[in-house]
Amino acid sequence: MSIMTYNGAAIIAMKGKDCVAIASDTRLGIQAMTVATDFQKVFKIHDYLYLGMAGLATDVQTLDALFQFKHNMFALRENRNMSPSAFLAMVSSTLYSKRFGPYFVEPVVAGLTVKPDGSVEPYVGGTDLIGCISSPDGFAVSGTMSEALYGPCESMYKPDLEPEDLFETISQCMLAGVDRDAVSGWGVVVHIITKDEVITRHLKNRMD
Amino acid sequence: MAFPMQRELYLPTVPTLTVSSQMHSGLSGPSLGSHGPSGPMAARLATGKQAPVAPSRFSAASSSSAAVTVGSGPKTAAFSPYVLNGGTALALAGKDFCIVAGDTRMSAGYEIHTRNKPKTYRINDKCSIAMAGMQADATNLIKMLRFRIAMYERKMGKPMSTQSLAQLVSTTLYRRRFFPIYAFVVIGGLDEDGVGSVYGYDAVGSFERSTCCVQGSGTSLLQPVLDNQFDFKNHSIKPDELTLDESIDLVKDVFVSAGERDIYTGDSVEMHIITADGVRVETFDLKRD
Amino acid sequence: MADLSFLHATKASAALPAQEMEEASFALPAVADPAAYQSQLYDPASATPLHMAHGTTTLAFVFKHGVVVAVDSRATQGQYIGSQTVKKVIEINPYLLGTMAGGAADCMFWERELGRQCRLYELRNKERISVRAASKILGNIVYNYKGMGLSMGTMVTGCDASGFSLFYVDSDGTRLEGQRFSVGSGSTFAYGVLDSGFRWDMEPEEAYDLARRAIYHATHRDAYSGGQVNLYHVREEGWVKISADNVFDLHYGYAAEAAAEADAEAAA
Repeated sequence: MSIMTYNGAAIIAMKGKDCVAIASDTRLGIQAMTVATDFQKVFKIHDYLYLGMAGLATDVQTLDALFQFKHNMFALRENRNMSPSAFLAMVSSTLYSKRFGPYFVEPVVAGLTVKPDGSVEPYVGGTDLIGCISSPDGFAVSGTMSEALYGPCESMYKPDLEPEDLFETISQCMLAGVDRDAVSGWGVVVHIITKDEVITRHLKNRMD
Repeated sequence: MAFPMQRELYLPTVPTLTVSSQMHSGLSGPSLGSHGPSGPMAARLATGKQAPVAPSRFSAASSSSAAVTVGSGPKTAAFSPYVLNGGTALALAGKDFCIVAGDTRMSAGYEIHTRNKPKTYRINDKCSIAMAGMQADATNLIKMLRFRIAMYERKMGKPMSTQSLAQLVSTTLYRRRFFPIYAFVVIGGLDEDGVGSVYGYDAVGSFERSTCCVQGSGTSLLQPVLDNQFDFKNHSIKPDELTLDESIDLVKDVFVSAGERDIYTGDSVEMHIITADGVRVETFDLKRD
Repeated sequence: MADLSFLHATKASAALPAQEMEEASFALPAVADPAAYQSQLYDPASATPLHMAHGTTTLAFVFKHGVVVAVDSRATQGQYIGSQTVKKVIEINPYLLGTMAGGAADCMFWERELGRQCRLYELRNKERISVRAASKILGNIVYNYKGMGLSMGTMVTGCDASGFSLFYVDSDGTRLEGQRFSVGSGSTFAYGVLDSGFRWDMEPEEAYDLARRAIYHATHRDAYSGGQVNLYHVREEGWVKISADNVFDLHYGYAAEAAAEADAEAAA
């Protein structure tokens, strides 16, 4: 068994029209045994940026604290928030600094980049556990059964969805995926990030 | 006990592929090598009967081509009879139709052997089989099945029903329980009431009837999509069942999706569309990258 | 019924044509130790790994009004959920039930064979086979293949002249008679619920509820169990299927029940 699948996770980030969505399951397991169904895997960095981490739960929590600290230090020094792409670069270099004894985490970010004219540009991206960045056009996934998330996303994703449609799409992809993965699920939380607000919803799904 | 137990104990006393003159080290059974009394691979059972043995071609193939470990003690040729040729096969069952489809790419590792080897096999007017996994095992399995189906049809004077075929495939796979056939089978057809039926298998013959089943390298990509778009799992309002044309479109869509993410799926898809009128074969192209 | 004569490659079958003979046994790989070779085949690290359908919670108990059998319906191949609708109670005949844990194919095949043997017994002896004898047939079969890599943990239960009985049979050759068993990856969770709620003189409805809850709690905690809860009751006149409930509905049903109870308590 891989240490990456010790606790179980499923995360998707998706771009919409002037909005992004990020969804994760809420299970914390010790291999086959489910020990919590309200485990947080998606963390708010600032109003326009959320970070999701799939992998070993202890590293997820450690890195959350570390990234919050690093972002706070940046915000104090610069008096502004990090853009999603800059934040992902910071995530990447943090992970690469442990190249030969890595954190067992595959992060995904979803956020909005504020452009000089005040409009927002959606951004999703992710890295592997040693920090190789990918910033795909439509969606990024991470988790114990990424194929089962990729399949539905690849089939059902459309660019430029409005927030409510994006919510429906990411939710269906998430539910379809976790229902075929034994070690993720047990609740799903979805965040839709728009220019004006962040909508957070919990989905009612299978608890087995 | 009040009735005869005729079961015999099949001992695993199959000879090792020993290439040095030293034998028997660490072996529990008699090692006959190629000097056995009845052919190169035959072994005797404790009961004095013929042991179940692997076909002799394996001994020739393995001892001549496989790597030989050099070291102290007996040198044994590695036995690796399997290769994964990849590809995706699926079947969907509707009210009065069934679709059986598979891509036509056949590869090994990062190499594509051919872009045109269909995974679908027509059995009769009411049903087709599709198989992913190892092409050689699949070909051999279909050969065995066709033989047994022909025997059945001679004996019974009627074509084999989809349900009977489903059980036959299971026992045929299970017969190789200790040396599995590396083929992942899905059967699609019409049952005795003309309703679409799909049966999916694991490698050793466990099977189940369902409405949609994906087998092969694209399983974990496509099965969740079909759960959502064909079985309408997690839909709070269930739409109407898909019609034949909608189902065909869905098959095309999901294969295109699989082609995007799975390197073993691509080139083209052969689709058997089974209705009361018989089996119609359609093909369509996928990306060839 | 499919031709299973190959299971008995006795001298009588020597009269069969050569082709039939060749197929009349289980093929073995050409290696020194087929059993060890087996385990390597199912190693996920192998280049060509095989996945057998696996994972389960099953339970059965004897009580005043018969035997209750409850199972989940999930089959997993590694972490991938192969099916959520497996029938893990095998209806051997109208008086006998078998359950399925471990390798799905092993259980399916050998319990089908057990059904055939039980039918033959009836034809030969003009009476139904006892549960004791039926379970021993299965136990003997799998014992013959001990060390070959069969994987099954099964319960055989039913009603015969001596009343209700329940046997646990597994592929190591264990055969135990008992009042209460749970088998599979989620069995420890099911035992917890079952043992705390069990009473010999339960009414059938109470027993069904206990069995259903035990399986439900196991599906909730165990990743490799889930799907639906299938429930059977073995009575003197044979078994009846009581219910098949989706765990999704059970979970939210039980949650609503608990919430209503809490409300009532708060009001009181």
